[in-house]
Amino acid sequence: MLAMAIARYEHGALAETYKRHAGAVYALAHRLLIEQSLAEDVVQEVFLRLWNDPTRFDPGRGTMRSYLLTQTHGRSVDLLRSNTARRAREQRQARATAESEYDLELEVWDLATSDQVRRSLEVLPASERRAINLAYFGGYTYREVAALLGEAEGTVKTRIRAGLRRLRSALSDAGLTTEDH
Amino acid sequence: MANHEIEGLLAVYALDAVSDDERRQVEEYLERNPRARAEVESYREVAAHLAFGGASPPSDVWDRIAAELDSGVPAPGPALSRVMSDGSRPRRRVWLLSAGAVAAAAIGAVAITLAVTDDSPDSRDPNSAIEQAYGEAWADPDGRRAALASPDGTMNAEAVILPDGRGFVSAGALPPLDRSETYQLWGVFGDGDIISLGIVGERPGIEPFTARGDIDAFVITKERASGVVSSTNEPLLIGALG
Repeated sequence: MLAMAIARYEHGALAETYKRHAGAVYALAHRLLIEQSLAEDVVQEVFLRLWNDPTRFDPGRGTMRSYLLTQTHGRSVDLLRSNTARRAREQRQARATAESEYDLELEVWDLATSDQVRRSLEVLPASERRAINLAYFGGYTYREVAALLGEAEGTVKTRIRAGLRRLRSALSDAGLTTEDH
Repeated sequence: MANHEIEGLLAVYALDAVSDDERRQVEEYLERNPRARAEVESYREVAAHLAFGGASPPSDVWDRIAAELDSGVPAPGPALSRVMSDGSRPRRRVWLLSAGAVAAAAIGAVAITLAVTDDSPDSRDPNSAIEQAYGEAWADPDGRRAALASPDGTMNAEAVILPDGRGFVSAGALPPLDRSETYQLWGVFGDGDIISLGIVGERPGIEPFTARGDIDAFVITKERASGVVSSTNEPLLIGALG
């Protein structure tokens, strides 16, 4: 109903969607971009894009949350790979080395995301967690992840795919997503 | 790049962890492979679970968004299109729509299926809401109505459009299609333009759409599930507005 209302240009529907999902959108953009002002710009852009072109969201292909976060991630990564955010990226790159033992599970736990998601993450081997973390929250390409971790590109691709599938299965077992592949 | 190589990139593509060139190749592959599209979407759903809901953004972010909304609400409805005759097949039409038309055509699909995918805790039953809105539109003395029928009279539908551009098509009597197909609604305008008004699904009921302008008639075609930019299919149903 919200997307239908947005498609009819009802302000209240966009406001409700913002209320429900802006926190996750902002957190993801902030995590990727570091700079608060850039993250705010991404939040604004993502919701205005939904407003101006609601038909880009296809509910047959996923949830509104997934759609908004996909848009957020894509836009943030575009910025990261542009000159605009180069300095921040260099800072992050230095941090990434220091955080090589970064623990995705801990991050989720600290931010009080659902217990079920946390338990699902426990099924991931550290090597898969690390690769997914660098790709998703670091905004790195798999080639860059391979270079950062000193592993073969094919290994990184395999680990990310295996990790996502393992998570998908675990989340499905927890009733948090459907497993149809 | 070989197909198996592209398959190996689907997971990293879902995390935006590919180069621009690889992204283009994956997206071309996805265009013709619905199974791969579904796989990518499933990876994105997983990723969405990882993106926690942190603190809300500063309040002025919403203020900036709201200011943009007030600066001008975009006109609803899909982009205009031209009807192009295909001389080699006089009775068939090639409907060339603008680049954004397919996306615009998805308005109907958005409206229909959101309720089962949005995680809203307080959404009303969309079908009853749409039925009520349809009933009100049909009873509105300013509404314009059309009875759509197939040439052989075996298929029927009804449509109504209000002066503010809100419209509904009631197509529950149409036979269900395979999931790979959809019915698509078009508006025929007085100046000869034909505009996609939305994908109405493979099992349509009462479906909302939005359109502005001087519509003379509605047409329904059968298309592939994603809708089409240019249709070469014969209209299944046609109905002039009263």
